[in-house]
Amino acid sequence: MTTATAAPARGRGRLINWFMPVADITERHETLVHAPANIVLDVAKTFDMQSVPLIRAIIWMRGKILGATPLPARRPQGLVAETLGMGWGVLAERPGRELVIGAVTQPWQANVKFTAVAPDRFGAFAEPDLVKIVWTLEVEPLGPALTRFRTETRAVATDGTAQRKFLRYWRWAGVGMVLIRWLLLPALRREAERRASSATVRTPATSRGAAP
Amino acid sequence: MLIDRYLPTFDETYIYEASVKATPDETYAAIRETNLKDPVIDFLFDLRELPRNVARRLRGEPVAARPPRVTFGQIMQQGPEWVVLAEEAGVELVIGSIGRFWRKDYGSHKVAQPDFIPFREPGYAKLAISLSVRAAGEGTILRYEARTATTDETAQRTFRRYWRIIGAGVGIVMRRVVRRIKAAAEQKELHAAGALP
Repeated sequence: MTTATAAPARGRGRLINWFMPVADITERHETLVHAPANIVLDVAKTFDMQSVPLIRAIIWMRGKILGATPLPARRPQGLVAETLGMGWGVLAERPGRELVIGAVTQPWQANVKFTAVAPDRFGAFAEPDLVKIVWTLEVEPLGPALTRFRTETRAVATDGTAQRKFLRYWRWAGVGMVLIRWLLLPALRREAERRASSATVRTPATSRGAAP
Repeated sequence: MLIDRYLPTFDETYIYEASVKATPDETYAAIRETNLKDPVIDFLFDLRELPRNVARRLRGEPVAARPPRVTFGQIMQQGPEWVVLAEEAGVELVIGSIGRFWRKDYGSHKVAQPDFIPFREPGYAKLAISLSVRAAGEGTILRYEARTATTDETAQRTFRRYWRIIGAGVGIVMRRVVRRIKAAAEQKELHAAGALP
């Protein structure tokens, strides 16, 4: 696993473009959240994806279809902590705004293994028969309590053989990713809006209590 | 991008991109010409149309027949709710629609192209779809985006509920559309290169 890096000083473009400007597939979903950006990003990073039963079912189903070895019981953990534990690495981070995570893998394998690549080597990495994948969690403040949340996934194969295998796999596995995002985004939004509204309710009471 | 002029702020957007082994011109032609009829897309649209078709049958009305061919190039003929907002030939096509999409009949509000941007009537959602190409190495990146903006908070709440049901289907349809266009463009490229009869 690589260590987290600060955003490279290369202008103001989105960080993901530095690591994968061209991809075989790109999928991006954006949604408005009525909560401050810091809360939205925190929820996105720490949300336990598998707390949503249907997401758990989709992951289980993928394992069944490919004949994966059953995984040991997991303990609830946040999205970023869980993926880093699986082998992904943080490629870059703009604190409070943007996080880019990446790995190389053979996603068509039943027992898929993710291997982090150092951020300075990721762009040029070209070992054959692999797929490089990057995904992001991004927030854009539109107001004090209004945020655009964005998550994007890009993948590119390192050679023609891997590309053929990946596109064949993605034809059906990509549907699972659509479903996961469709389930995940409203769940994140609900949690961020719940946290934001409970913070708003708490603030006046606290101020009143602190007033002389 | 042209879509930014027509719907710069929005509630939701889905973007799907694929690399295509064909030139940008061939890929753009495929955007306009590819027949988007496909068993999965048809099934999902039938599912969306089910409440309306059941209501029609209960009223003894005939169910509307599916068109034999659906293309972005002929979108205006697919239904009165669509309007071509802008096109930069060979680069990007933007089409739009305004309605209460959560209703059985989509609650379409027909607008002319110049009225799309200023439209603010409460209770509606504005949808802008962008299909575009850009050169990438020896191939092309094909991009398909669908943005939705609501005109007030009530519409936003209703749209969110609707999206919770329909959003996955929209994503699956968009992926299929991208795949069909990519396949058509690559087929054309192989014909042009003489690799196919």
